[in-house]
Parts: sequence; structure tokens; C-alpha cells
Amino acid sequence: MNRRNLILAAAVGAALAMPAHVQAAEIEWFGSVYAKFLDGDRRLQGALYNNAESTPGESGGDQGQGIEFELMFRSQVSNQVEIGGRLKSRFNQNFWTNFGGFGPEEEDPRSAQYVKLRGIYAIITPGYTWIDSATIGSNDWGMFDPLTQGKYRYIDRDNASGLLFQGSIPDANLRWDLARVSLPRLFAGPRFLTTRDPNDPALSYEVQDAAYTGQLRWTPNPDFNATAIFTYVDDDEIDISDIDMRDGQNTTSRYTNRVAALKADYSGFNAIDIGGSFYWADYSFDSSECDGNINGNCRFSPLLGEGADDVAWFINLDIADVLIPDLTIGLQAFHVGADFMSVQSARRESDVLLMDGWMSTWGWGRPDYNTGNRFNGNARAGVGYGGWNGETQQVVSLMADNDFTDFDEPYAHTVHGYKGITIVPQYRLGSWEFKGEVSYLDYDTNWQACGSPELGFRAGCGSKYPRNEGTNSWGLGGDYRSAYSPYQDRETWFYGLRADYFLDLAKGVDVGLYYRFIDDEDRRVTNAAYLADAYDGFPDAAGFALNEDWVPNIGLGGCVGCDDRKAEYSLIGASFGYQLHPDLYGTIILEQYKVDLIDGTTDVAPVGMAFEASNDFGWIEYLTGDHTKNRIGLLFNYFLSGVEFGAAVDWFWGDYKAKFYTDQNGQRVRLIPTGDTVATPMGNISTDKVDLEQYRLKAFMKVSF
Amino acid sequence: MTAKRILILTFALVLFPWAGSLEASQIFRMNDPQGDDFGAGDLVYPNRPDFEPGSLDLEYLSARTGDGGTWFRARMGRPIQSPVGRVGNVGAEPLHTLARNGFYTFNIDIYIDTDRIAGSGRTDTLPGRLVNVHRETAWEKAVILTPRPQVARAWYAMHLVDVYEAELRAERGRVDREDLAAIEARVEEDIARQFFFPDRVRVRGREIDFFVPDEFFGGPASKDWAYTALVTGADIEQAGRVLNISPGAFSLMAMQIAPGRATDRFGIINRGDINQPPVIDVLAPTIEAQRRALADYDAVAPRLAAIQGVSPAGRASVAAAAVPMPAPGAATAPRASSPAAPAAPLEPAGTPLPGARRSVPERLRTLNALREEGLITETEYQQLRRRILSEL
Repeated sequence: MNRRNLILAAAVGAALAMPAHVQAAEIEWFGSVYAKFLDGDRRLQGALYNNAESTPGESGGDQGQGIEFELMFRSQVSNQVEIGGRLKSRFNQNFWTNFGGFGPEEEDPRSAQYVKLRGIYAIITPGYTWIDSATIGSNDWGMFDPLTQGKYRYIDRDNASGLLFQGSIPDANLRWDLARVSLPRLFAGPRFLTTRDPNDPALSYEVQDAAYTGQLRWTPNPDFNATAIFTYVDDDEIDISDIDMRDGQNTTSRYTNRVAALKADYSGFNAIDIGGSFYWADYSFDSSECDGNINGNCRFSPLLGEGADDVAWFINLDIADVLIPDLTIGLQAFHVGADFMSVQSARRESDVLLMDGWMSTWGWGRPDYNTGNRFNGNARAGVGYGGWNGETQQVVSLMADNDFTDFDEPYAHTVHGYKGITIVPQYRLGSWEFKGEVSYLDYDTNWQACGSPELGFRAGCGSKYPRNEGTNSWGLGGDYRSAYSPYQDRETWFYGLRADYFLDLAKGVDVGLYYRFIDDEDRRVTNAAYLADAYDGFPDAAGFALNEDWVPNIGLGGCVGCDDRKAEYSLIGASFGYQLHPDLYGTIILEQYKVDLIDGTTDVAPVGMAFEASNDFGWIEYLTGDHTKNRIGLLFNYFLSGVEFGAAVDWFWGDYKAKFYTDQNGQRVRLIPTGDTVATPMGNISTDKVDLEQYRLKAFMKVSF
Repeated sequence: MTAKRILILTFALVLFPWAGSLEASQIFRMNDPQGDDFGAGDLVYPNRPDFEPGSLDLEYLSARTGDGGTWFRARMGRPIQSPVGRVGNVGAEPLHTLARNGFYTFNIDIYIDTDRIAGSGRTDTLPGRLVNVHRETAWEKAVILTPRPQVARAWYAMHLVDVYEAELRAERGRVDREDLAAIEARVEEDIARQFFFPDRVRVRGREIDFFVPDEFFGGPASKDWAYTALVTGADIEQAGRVLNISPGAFSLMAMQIAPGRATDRFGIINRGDINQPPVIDVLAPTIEAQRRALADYDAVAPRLAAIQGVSPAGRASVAAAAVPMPAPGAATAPRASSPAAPAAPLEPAGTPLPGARRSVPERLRTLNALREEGLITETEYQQLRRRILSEL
């Protein structure tokens, strides 16, 4: 077959091609087979995800092989109606086969390979002028906004059902969306409940809990658009005072949440695009459900324990080629109020800030620096020493969600209380491309005893601010969903520089060089009068086994600077990508991370610490000192005849050398240990250098059809 | 710490003023009207936060010389979405490991008429675009900017091999190993000569730059050529054909359309026709020209819409005049809210186009003409004649 024939054949092929649309009443089937392989030297079996720790009865693993299958269908029933859905099986737990028999793990819907019908929807396009379409059933609700009705994450995309109506008024350049979304029973309420008492059938009522969202978009010309959004969330309950069912039962609200937003973008200037958004949130909740104790029944909660209202706003500027050709400067100023409460905001897979945030700060790796006790359940949790490799996703949610993720996925972090500015210049120079970042963060949560120092933190913070893990400002080893610390006076600077270069060698090498530096300082208690409240001899829970060797220093001896925290995080790295074969692309990554951390003296532990600091529990660790972590990473992507393979392999090694400080005459001074250990509230800490290492691998195969 | 801050800031301040020292010379820049990201008139973006009005609105296409090739630049109506921090639809894999070039929401196909001879070259486009290039600006070279260039290229090669294998099997009743090897070699050669899928790509704000080496064009791009540029939505986790249980027309990583508003496809509102092409923007002199060109199809005949290329220099092809584009700095093209500008000359509706499916007598007449002009052999003529007649 010569070239002319090839061309002719192509033309014939094109001529024979019909439009790709499925004809009415035909069912279109498609789907995928996806297999995942995990390997690592933590030797953990559990769910086939590196991190799965806050789901009851579930834990993550770093080893195993699993395969899952999904079969999707859709049909254009008529010109006005499309229906569709998904049939899906999940991974079996860690093994290729179910040779364990039909045991308990296989009854768990998260690991059973039974096929489940999910994600059913119908899209109706009636052809009326006033409505474009109505969608009934499953939806990921991605058509709204991360701070109002956020998009549900990948694994929840079929779980949230509701009604969606969409229309437009072309003559007025308007488009509208209206939605009713049923609330997730699992988490969307104070204390992770959407009912007063799930165990009492007379009181349990969840079926009418819903979020209602309306959105109006106005686009009068291509350069300008404006959007107004309003969300109302109601957690409806049976009125417990109405015990007579003969005339039905009345309902009351357990909590309500209203969020209003205005957004606008203008790009009519030659070199400047400007955009802004303003959000107002009002939240009402009967705080009598909480016991008022900072470590009480509302400690773990995705919502505030009292009613509140607050605002959030963002201003974005993009300046291109103004002074210098090929130089773009992005700016963002922002403020997310500490009391801004939006139940339906996105929990991950959205990023509301321009900055790269806490990337490279070893977020929640839980490597167990101090004792390395494998019988400690919390040491086994988390993703391990290497942490997450992906970007940070900054979300406005107290329930930032990193469950069921792997180490190569993004890492979500709450930004409640953040206010700051980010500048991101980008510049091209020949085969080089540069990107920088400077960000400054101040915090709404810079307060003493949550703003009521006269009451002390126990009463001042009370149940209003859920502490969750309570390790937000503890930095390295800290937690992504703990937005509030009782005593905080913190500011943070972020600096980043990245250079990408195409090295014209052989088939060309994609070179990336990057450096990142974060300076995070927290003065915590700023007045000596509050020290006794904050450091009154830990812990804050009955029955806690205090370190017997440690002698409490009530109020740090009046040393205000002795609880100051100062962390300097740095990352320097290089990556080299190469097309090894037309079907195979490989990348090698070399990185070194360092943390220089001073976290108070040997008398300091998180204010309000409870059960977490036990050496056996291992939740909060002593981390003052010098940390170094090195990484060699390999990435591969391979495509062959409709099947794709990918792999990420990491080797980490490094060390931790503890340092110790004490107070002397009201000043923090270096403590030179004389023995093998130093007594602290978090245990007796070894003075020896601790060596750490981790190997991990994730590979996948997927075939879409 | 202070020293580190100073080091970084100094590096940045020293570095940036180097700008312009390596400024390349511009070959051309062609503007496209703003606010025309609606295809033939009724397409709306998918129900997704990463597709906002303007996202796939091509504002201009330019080219400038680079070291060993040509840097094309496209500017879109809104900042280009980055795959970083997102996950794919299958297995929640990090999207940036699949789409490594900093974008994932669109494809830009550029079909280039380098010989400027009307009717010379190909008029078909990649599968799934459902348009043709006007014969006036039939193309010799195609640059396909797509988020996963290697995968797209591999898919296309697989598709062509499948097509040719089926053709050969229809002719001979069998395809042996040598035939298959020959087909694969020819496909590879053909793609290498006619298609380039850029993998040197840089994204900055609303702009995307992509590099085409001189080896592909035989030199830098020329302002005398005619360019047919199509913007489609990218379907980067292309459904494969390994287990194709719902056989249908193959679409090469191009998002398709659906009535109403869907999340994974362009929607159609205003009771628009379901068969309109999934091309959301076209490099065209006016909004009306785009609308007319994309709407000029016949799903029954069937005849695909034919998009006429534009020449930066306004140079006419040998047989007919190409449509000149507004020069940089010339009067701005009308916007969606402005009164429609005079329509550019377009192929008259109803004209059969090469590559479009026509009636059997028309196709036989064309076949006769090809034989009389010596473009096909007698054997090829007989084979194709039998095939056309077999459809009766």
C-alpha cells in the first residue's frame, strides 16, 4: 500500500465515519480495569491505600496488590432524556485472590469485590426556553464553588445525590443553576453527625438533611463575568417536644448554615486580569449538644461547636508582559476568617490559594521519631517518613480529607484563619522557564485562650473550636485538619524558586531545579500572666499516665519566650525526565529536605494536651532538633496498545538529632544533656541521633474501554 | 535565614531583567474573535469547575522563530488549567503524571497548507473532530497540541493500522504478518511526515507555547502558509479499544457532545442539533464565519463541515483566494456581544467535499476521474469500485 493509497484510505475512512453520537435508545457501555500494586518496607497490610486511618475499622497499608473494575453505561433514551450509571467493584484488601474465603474483610464494602450499582443519574433536556436541563441522581456538584457547594472528591463522586436544574437567559447573558444536595450522613455535622443520636430510633432523623444552592452567572461580554451564589444547609431533626404522632411530627433544625458569595473577573485590560470574590457565612448550632470542654465530646468535629459568622475574600491579579516581555506576575491577597463555616465546601481536590503552602513540611508523616514502637497503632498510621509527595491542596474545610490516598497524591490542608499575600512571578528565557513564590501568612487564630484570656483556654475556647488532633501549630508531625490552637501568635514566610530547562541532548532532557524555604514562627503565649493557664502541669485528661521522670515546671517559670516555636523548612531538588522509548517516559528525582526546629523548652507540650502525648500512643512527639531527609525518586509512565502502566518508587533516608532547651533566668537557653535521655512531658528523649529510612513503591495498570 | 531570603530575592531580581536578550523574531500573529467559544453556536462547557466560559476561547495564534524550530503560541480566554493537584477518572491517579506538559483541558489542531495549491493535500482531520478542512486550504502538515502527545500519537497510529488492516482484509480476505508489518511501517512513516505532536510545551497564565522543530516543516513556519486551527476539549483518559464493547466512531482524545449539560462532554442548549461538531473554537476572521463554517454540515448525506484555513499574509492559494486575517494592531475583531461583522467567503453550502460521504453515483464519478487522471491504478480502481457498489 503506497502513500497515495494511505491518504486515500484515510479519506475513505473519514468519509465512512459517521458522527460519533449514539443513536436514541442505544446503550453505550464503557469502563475500566484498574490494578494497583503497593510495596514498602513498613510491611503494613490493610486497605490498599497508604493513608486510611480516620475511618473506623480501617487502616492503611503499604503492601499488596488489588484489581478493580468499573462498567459505566449511558443511553440517550430520547432526544430529551439521557440516563447513566456505574457498576463498580472495589479492591480486595491486599491480595490478588479471595483465597481467604468469605471472611470478615470481604463483607466490608470497601474491600469486597462484589459489584455495586453506583452513580445513577438521569439528565432531562425538556426543550423549554426557561430551562436547559435537569439532572436527577448522582453528581459530584463541581459546577459551583469550593467555598459554597464544593466538588466532591474522586471517591465520593457517586455518593452525593440530589437534584440539579440549569438554565440560561441568553438575551440577558445570564445562566443559572439550582441544586438540592442530600447531606452525607457520615460526616456533615457537628461531632461528625447529622442527627442528635444515631443510636436512638426515636430521635434519629437524617433523611431530609440537605444543602440548597443557587447560582447566577452574568457574562455581559467576554471580558467580564460576575457570579452570585447562595447556599443554605439544614440539618433537620424531629422536634423532641412533639411526642404525639397522631398529627404528624414537627421538625426543628439542629444546625443551619448560610453562605453567600459574590465573584467577578475582568480581563479587558491589555496586560492585567483582575478577579475577586467575597464570601459571607452564617452558622447556627445549638451548643447544648457540646459539653463545653475543649477536649470533650465536640473536640473531634468538622464544624464549630457554637454558632458563628465570618467572611472570606480573595483578590487576584495577573500582570503579563508589562515591564518585561515574557514576565508574568500573579498576585493574590486573601483572608479566610477563623469563624468562616461552610459545611459543603470542598474537602480536597480543590485549591483556593495561589501559594504552594505547606508542601515540603513533612505533613503528618508520623514516622515515630522518638520510640519507633511498632505496637503503637499511631506509629503505624499515616503515610510514613516520606510523607506525601504531591502538592498541597488548600481547602476551607475543617474536615480536610486525606483518607484513602497514596503517597503520590495531593495533600489537603485546612486554611481557616489564614490571611496573607502571595506573589508568583513567572519568566521565560530561551530554553529556561522560571517560577518564583513569595508568600506571607498571618492568622486570625493569633489569640490568647481563643480570644478570652481572662477566662483561660478551657473556658475561653470551650467547645467552640474543635481541636481535632490538636497539633496544627506543632509543625513537623502536625495535623492537616486542626485549625485552632488555644495560644498562638504566629507568622509564616514562604519562598520558592523553580527553574525548568529543556536540555537538548539526545531526545531532550526535561530538567527541573527547585528550592523552597519556609520560615514559621509562633510566639504562642505572649503574656506571662497567661503562662500558668497554658502550662499548668499536663495533661488535660483524667487518667493520663504522665512521664514519671519529668518534673512539671508550672507556667514555665514565667519565661514567656520559652514556649516559642521556630521552624525553618528547606527543600532543594532536581528532576530529570526523558522519553526513554516512544511509549516510555521516565523521571528521576533527587531531593534533600531539612528542618531546623526549636519547639520550646523541655517543659513545653501542646496546650490542652490530653491522651495524645503518651510514648505508647505516639501521637505527639518531641521534635526539637535538626532533621534531614534525602530522597531518590523514580517515576515511569508506559503506554502500549491501550493499556497504561505507571510507577512511583521512592527511597528516603535521613536522620534526626534532638536538641534540648530549658529556661534560665526567664530566658530560653540550650541544654547540654549529661545522660542518654532527657525527660520531657512527651517521654524520655534519647540524645542519640536517630536514623530513619523508608522504601515505597506504587505501580498501576489501567485499561479503559 | 535572612541570608537565604536575600539570596533568593537577589537571584530573582538579577534574573528577571535578562528578559528580551533572547527575544526571537515573530513570524506571524493571527487574532481570533473573543467570546466565540460556542462552536457552531450551541455548545456549552461541561458542568465542571475547570471549564469556565473563555477557558477554550482561542484569542490568538502566533509563531516566532526559535533555536532550531518554531515556537507557536496560543492565548486562551482564561488562565490555562494545570493538572497539578488533580486526579484522573480512573484510579485517582495524579493527573500531572499523565498530562506532563502543564495543561489538560484542550487540544489545538493546526492543519497547515504549505503548498498553497487549492485541492492539493488532505482535507480530513483527526478522528473525533467531525469537521474537514476546506479543499481551498487542503493541508500537508499538521501540528497537534494535546495534553498527552505520545499517547495521542500512539492511539492514532493504532487507529490507522486498524483501518488499513480492515481494508486489506476486505480486499484479500486475510492479513499476514508481513502485511501488518508493512502497514505499521507505512503508518509510522506517514504520521512522522505529516503530523507533529509537540512535547516541548510551556504554560504561563493564559498562554501556551509549543515547539515544532525545523525538521518537521523543513524550516521555520511561514506567514505565507494557510493555517486551520481547531480547539476541542481534551479527553485525556481516552476510552480504549482493547475491550471496545460499544463499538462506535473512534475519537482521538476529543471530548464529544451531549444534549443538556453533562460533566464529561460539551453540552448543547437552545435545542441545538445533536450532530454539530465538538469543535468549540476555530481560528476564523469573524464570529459569523466560524458559526457558518461549523454549522454547514449534513448528517444525512453525510457531509462534514469544512473549515477554511487562514493565511497571515493573506496570500491567495493558486486556485482561489484565502481569507486574509486581521493584522496585529488592526481593528479588533468583533466580539460576541457586538453586531456580526460581514461574513467571510466560505464554501457554499451543499458543495460535496473531499472526504465527505457522498452518494454512490458521485463517488463512482470521482473514482472514474481519479483513474482518468492516473492517480490510481486499474487494480485500485476495481477494488474501490467493488467496495462502493457493495454498499448498494
